[in-house]
Amino acid sequence: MKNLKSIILLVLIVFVSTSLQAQLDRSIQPKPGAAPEFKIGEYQSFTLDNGLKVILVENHKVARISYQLTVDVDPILEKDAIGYVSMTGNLMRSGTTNRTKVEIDESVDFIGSQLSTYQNGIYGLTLTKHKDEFLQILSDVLLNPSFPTEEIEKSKKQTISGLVSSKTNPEFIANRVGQKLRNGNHPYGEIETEETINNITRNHLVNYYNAYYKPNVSYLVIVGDVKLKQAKKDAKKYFGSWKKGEVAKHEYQFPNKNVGTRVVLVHKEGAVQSYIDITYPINLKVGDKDAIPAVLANDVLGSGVFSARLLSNLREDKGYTYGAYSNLSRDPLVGHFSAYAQVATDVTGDAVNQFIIEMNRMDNEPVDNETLNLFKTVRTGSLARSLEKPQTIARFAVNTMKYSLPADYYQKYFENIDAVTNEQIQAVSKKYIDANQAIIVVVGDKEKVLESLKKYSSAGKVELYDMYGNPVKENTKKALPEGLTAEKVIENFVAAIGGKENLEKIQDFTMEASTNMQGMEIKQVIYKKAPNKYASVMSMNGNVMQQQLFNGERGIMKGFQGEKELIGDDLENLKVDAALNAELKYKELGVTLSLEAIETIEDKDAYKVKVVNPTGQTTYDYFDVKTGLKILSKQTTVTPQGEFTQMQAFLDYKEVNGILYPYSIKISGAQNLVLTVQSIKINTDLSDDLF
Amino acid sequence: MKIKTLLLTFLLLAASSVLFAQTNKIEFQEYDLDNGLHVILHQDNSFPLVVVTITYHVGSKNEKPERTGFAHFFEHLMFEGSANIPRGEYSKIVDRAGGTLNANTTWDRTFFYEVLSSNQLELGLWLESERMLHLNVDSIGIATQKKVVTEEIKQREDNQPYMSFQREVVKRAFVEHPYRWTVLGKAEHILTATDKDYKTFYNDFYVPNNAVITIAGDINFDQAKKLIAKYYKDIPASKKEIYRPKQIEPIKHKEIRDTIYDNIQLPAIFQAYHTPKSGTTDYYAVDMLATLLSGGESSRFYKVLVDEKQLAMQAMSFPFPYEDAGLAFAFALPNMGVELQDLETAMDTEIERVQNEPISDKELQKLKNQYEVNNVNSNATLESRAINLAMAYTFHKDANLVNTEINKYLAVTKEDIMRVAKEYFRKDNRVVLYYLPKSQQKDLK
Repeated sequence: MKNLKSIILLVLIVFVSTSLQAQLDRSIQPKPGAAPEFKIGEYQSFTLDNGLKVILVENHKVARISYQLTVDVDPILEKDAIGYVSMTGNLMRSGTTNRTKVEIDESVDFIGSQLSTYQNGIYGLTLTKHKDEFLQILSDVLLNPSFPTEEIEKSKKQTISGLVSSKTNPEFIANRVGQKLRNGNHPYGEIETEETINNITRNHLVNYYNAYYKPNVSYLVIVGDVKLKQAKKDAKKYFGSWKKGEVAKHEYQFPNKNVGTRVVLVHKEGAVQSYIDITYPINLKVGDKDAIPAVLANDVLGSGVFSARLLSNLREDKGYTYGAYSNLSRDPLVGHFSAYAQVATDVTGDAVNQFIIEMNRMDNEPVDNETLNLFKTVRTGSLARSLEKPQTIARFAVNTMKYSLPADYYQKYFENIDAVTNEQIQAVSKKYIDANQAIIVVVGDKEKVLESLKKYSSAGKVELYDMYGNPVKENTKKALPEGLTAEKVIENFVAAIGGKENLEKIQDFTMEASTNMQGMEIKQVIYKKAPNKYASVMSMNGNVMQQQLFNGERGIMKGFQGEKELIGDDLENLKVDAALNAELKYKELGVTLSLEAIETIEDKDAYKVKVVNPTGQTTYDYFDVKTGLKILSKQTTVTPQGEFTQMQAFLDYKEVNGILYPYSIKISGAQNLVLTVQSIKINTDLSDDLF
Repeated sequence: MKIKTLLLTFLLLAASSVLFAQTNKIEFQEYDLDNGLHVILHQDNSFPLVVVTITYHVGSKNEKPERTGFAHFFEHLMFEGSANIPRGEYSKIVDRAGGTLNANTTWDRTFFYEVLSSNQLELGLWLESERMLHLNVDSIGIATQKKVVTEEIKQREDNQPYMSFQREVVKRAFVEHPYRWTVLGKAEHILTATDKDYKTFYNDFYVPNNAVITIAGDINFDQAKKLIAKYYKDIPASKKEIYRPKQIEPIKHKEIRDTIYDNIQLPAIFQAYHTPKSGTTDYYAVDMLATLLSGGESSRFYKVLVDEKQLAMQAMSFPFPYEDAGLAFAFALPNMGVELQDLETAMDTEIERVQNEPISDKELQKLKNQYEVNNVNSNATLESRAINLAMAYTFHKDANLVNTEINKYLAVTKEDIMRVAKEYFRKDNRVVLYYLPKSQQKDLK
């Protein structure tokens, strides 16, 4: 086709370009070559007589095979035992009628394989040469799980510990509250609590397994170094005896759409940051006509690329947060939108405002071409790279079957991304990015953020919820009596426990108390001597574990790891704690007081007094309005793991030498225990050597 | 024309898959440019992707004691732009090309990479050549990254539970060698360093004669070689000898013990034993010993400490493979109410068992099986093959180690494991740290 002339020209061009090489112009960014075709690998599929659908993606590059089994059933309502469906999955590999957990561990490790089980699924990876040994174990785990009682109890304990440790995590709280509120009575709205986990019995697991783990509702995805013929043989051999059976179908109503924006606040005492999650259900499935433009629209709004609008507005421009993102999750039953960030407390309202502005901007103005093209490239690029993994091909195959997609859905995916227009982005944004039907969940300090949030609620009010997504009965705020001050509350307290005169008679003080921890008795003895000597000795089974000493000047901490001198804030705080009758000396100790409110503590009205040490350490003390006694003390510490509130409730006041002391101290927060006082002795002439 | 290319691809595909299935051998070509840049090319045309990596043989150990954290600082600065790439554009260019990129730093090397579709190979080579030849080492970029890096130090070492362990262990374990500071270094060193300090460091270490470039994926050898020559052959080599620390850490004869109070909920134990450096015969036996103790739910630590005695929630052992030395870490988190001493005694008992009883044939076989699987998995993706080739050459000047290293593991005997346990896992050859919650510095009040 080409004539000689053009060939010469071509040769010349080649020459020119090579001679140019000597003076390479590095300021020119190289142009890409012709775009390669990203081919989606082939998959094969077959169905066993028992109805198990098998998808195979052959890949012989590496001599290994992965197996992924999914039981594809409708969600069920777990009611008062929420958590058992996932526990059924988790415990599949904790023992079978043929193998103990230890035997399963041993044999899986021996061949260097991986085997994990989870809610409605199993995943395994093995070298090709250990395939048969591995499939024997996998099929045993799938077909004959025994759900040993002791493993169930272990798992319940672990799940509850996990829940307890997440209680201080605002993201966890916001996600769960959002999940519950947006899904209503749909099974997706069920969240685990300590109570529902405790209600789980072995029967729940066995019954769920028997009713739902059936081949005719399951997919087995095989990826790797095995040929179709062999895969068929293996599937028959190891999964052919799995009995098919009728599986109940369940249908649920789609959650009701909100009319107007709701603002839901979960109070977190003293939080320095607020977690914001703007969420609502959407009806969007994989394969829907809107799905691809909607995914792109969400990328523009809230993906992790720096040019995404939420990141560039809330982080780069305003500096409210380290990261702000949004998600548009597609689901066959109920999908959802979610836009979230953790922001500084004082900008909580402003941050919500910027979220709404950016969401509305998606609806009201078209995205410019340059932006749209950038996000198209980022998305096709990451999709193209993911095609290197055979797992991606397998996921496409499963989706194609599960959602009855056209056979060429994924083949056309790149073209379809490319074809998306600005008008389409705007149209899907109007449909799926809609602040007017959102639930704005905020986890933060009520006192500091509530007012700033009111205006974002269509009804003009902020709804208070607890961390389990239950509405909190709002305390009608009681007005503080005219003229009452924090100092007066303290004076009343001093009078209530026996009066200043009696307190001033005290020269020294000895308290013996004990508590139980993991079945072991821990004893604590506290000594105080005027004016400010202090010692605390903790022992377990007669052995001293820890001592803290303060002789009026130096503070020392002793433990089996050695001795440590307390310095800085630790020492300053100890000086306040060590003072005998600190309540009489707040002024000289430099402690400042303020009366905050009347709050209800376990059905009792109490004055809330803020007590600030010279170091800035803040404690809230609550005094019973009726009796004047101190009933609760709260302290919040901020650590990198989150914020911890430690509470001490003072109960069972008894008289000693004319003074009332609490004989039971309930400590809750990071640690939960009850300290029971055995004896309190006054003026026993304590030696200075103790300190 | 189309049918022909298709056929060709098919043939190539078939050829490469046969090759892999039969031997699993990773094929590659390697050569040096005149300026000392070492080039490794690995062809895999099965998918139109290309991975471009550059490894600079500089890590925290090449820093001065009063200027730590520099290598990591440059990991950041390298994204600031160059003579021909405006500030803030480096990653955007890769975004626009539909690719991805990142970097990381260790004690011994700094690693940069881009993953691109194969028609963008030239772009990747240009990008990396820009920062090798004329990176923007200017006051604006330095000032920005000073902020970012000091925040990163806070976030990763200071504000993460237990994550100060590296800093706390190495400053006790090493007295001579620069491994005594961590990769992130000291914030004050970063902050007080001058622009000139940074420029000198850049000129000293980020040079072709201190770098390995690896290209893996859908390439044509001739074209790749031409492009490498185009962008790299004119980059001048450094005339100075590259500083590599010569200090040798003295052999230890005394246990070091300490307590660290940290922002944690649960206490923990860290132990670190001095072990031989990576690549030595004993290194492989030590590595296997670590797997014996903590690889999988049936490993000795897990089975005894976690399952049977229920002393620990978690127990593991992991070697730090430094280029010039070795440290084998053991770590355990106790269950509630368990004394750290009891847990430590149980850990020591497990180590003594390895010192005094040969492991069973079955356990040895299990270990070998596990290493065989690791070998397969660690070379499974294009990216990992590119990294493994680069590291094998950088540290051992033997890229083919990616194919032969497994034999060194398979050659380890029961006697070797017992011997290294006795020789290196001595109490007087270790550092032991107890991590306790800060709250334990106070009492119940």
